[in-house]
Amino acid sequence: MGKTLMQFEGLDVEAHTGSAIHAFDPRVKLVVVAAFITLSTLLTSWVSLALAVGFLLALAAVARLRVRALGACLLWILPLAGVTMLVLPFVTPGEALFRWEWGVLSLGATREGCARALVLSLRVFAAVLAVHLLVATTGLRRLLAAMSSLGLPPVLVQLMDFTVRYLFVVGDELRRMQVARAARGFRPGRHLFHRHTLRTLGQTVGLLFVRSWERGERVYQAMLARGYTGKIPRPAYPPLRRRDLAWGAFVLAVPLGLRLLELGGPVWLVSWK
Amino acid sequence: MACIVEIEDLHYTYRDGTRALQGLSLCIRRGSRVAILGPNGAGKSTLLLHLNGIYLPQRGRVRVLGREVNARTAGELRSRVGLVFQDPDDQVFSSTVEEDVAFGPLNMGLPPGEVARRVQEALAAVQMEEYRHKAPYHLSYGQKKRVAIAGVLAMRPDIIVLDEPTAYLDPRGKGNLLAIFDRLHREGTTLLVATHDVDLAAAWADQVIIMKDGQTLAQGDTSLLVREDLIREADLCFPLVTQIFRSLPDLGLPVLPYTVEQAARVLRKLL
Repeated sequence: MGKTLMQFEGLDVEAHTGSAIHAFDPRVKLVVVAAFITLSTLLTSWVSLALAVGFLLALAAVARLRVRALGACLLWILPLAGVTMLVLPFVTPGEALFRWEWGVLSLGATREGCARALVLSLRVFAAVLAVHLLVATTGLRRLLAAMSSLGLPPVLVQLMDFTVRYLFVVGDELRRMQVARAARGFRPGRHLFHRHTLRTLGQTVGLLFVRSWERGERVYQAMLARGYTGKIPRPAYPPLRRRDLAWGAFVLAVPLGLRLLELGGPVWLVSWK
Repeated sequence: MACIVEIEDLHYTYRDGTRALQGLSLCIRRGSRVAILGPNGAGKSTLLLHLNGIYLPQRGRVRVLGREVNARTAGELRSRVGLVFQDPDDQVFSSTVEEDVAFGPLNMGLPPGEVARRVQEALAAVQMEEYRHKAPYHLSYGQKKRVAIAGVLAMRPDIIVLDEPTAYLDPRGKGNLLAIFDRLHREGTTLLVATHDVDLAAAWADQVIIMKDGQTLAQGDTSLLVREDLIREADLCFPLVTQIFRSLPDLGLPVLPYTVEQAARVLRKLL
């Protein structure tokens, strides 16, 4: 059931525990990761970005994250970010790096373009890595609890909670419908403009929507039956420990320091000499 | 006769015009085990949703635990009447078993220690303690069903209402469920079960309500289940035991048995 989804480490409710990073307060982790991503998008040189990424990789190593799960995470963003990175070197004006010519067609990459692609990919990598670090060492459940205790609107938090919970149920429903279709001899795979295929797929999607809507109604009734009043009660968090805050400050010091170095770095370096 | 649930002339029409309940009346005694039978579309599920104020009467009266069900009392009644839905996936929504069982008690505003105690007790009652940190989507259907029941038990309701509790359960799951019912019955909980399973009703219930077209066709003890006129009118079937003895009219039995024990007694006498 939902095998492919379950392999996606972040969705698993109970993150495997063990390292020091797993033990830090989820609220601190959430704020730190958000701030880390914001700060690292402000970095402009590839050197400081690479340092930020290196720092995150070190944290991931301390947290003993599985490399495969991280790889899977990166695969998800490849279609989006990958295309941009491939195109950038060729569309940015600047000093020509190399050039292909076939008759009238010519394609040239620029040094500026390559630099921009590198910076962009490092930024994306840093952001994905940071989010992965957060989710994989916290687990969805604690993350949602942290979000609601940090004052995120309950509707938003519940929306995420329910999306994950019912992804599997709706996924199962879809699979059963597919099996039932196949059992009556339906074969997809012909082109999408084939009338019968298109009709069948359209009806499947429509039915899935209707069923989900009806299920939503029943889930809501079941929640009302247990006294739901619009807020999901969650146990209160203990107060923040000094250890958590110190850890958060340490992690944030890295991108902050890199940013400061970028701003006035050369001056400091000169003054040190 | 003191009724723990008393319904008079209840009407309910859905937005699409389906008239689900059309003048239903019934009375349920405290501490009884009630089976509500009736064909699909008889209004069973609609009736159940009235019992803790999810639906409010459009016409007629519903009294539960001596109190009229209306918008004002519905909130309090929800902690005293537990509803177990047919599909546990509709009910068990939290990301862990433990959290889901705690949902009701937390909504009741109980202190954390009491919530923890009740969660522990409810999970023990359905033998699901070892799964308390598991995510619901890792559980089997029968296990999810037990979690759904635990979620209601943790609220310690006086009345527990279950929609098709044995549907899709394997024999062992059904056995477990009946054992839980027995324990609750001994503790004085009133149990209401809407079902198509006439054998379950015959063996387990001490009060039977037969519904049709949004009305009560008959209510009484389990002997209703061998009355041919009722069975035919409500599109039900005879309990399996009764079916066997109906095919042996030459025995000349004055009353047809409907439970295994009754059948055994009759057979022993004949042998």
